[in-house]
Amino acid sequence: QKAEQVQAPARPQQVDQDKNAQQRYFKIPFARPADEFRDGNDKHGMWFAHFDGKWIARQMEVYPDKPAVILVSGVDDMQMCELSVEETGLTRRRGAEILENEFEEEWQKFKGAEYLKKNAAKVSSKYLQTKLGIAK
Amino acid sequence: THDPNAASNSGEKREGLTSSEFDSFLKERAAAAETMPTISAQTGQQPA
Repeated sequence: QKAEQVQAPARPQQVDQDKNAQQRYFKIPFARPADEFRDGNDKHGMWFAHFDGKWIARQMEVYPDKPAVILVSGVDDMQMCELSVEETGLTRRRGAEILENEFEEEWQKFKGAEYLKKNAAKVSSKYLQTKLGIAK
Repeated sequence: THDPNAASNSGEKREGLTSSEFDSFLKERAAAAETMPTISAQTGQQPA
């Protein structure tokens, strides 16, 4: 008996994350629930994101009094933003978009490159795979 | 699904704001950070 072969449809990420996809970087402050109603506090962390085309490739969370959180798509998907860049609204938020250099500077500061290398085999972003020299 | 015209229909309030789904996500991440130890607690140092 011949088994029926059903080919799973390609995930949107795989379709859109091509080598020529636009790379966009964002940075926004985020308040912890305890900070929400306090004015003038300086405990706000910063949320950083790198979108490879439509989907997030790298996420970084930096707090003044906590260790930075470094996340990479394909490795830490459960903790990462699953919305497309348009769905987040970040592209419309004034001052949220930053230059690649600014993102990379922070990424290096918190040892993002080491983390990326360590998990290179799992990285799903085509852009990052190319950067790591492991593009398929 | 998102109606590209929805933002303009609701006036200028939507402009410059992130989506409610994204705001919820960000709040979740902020709450997760609450459970992490502070750097001073990790290293055993007391704040001055």
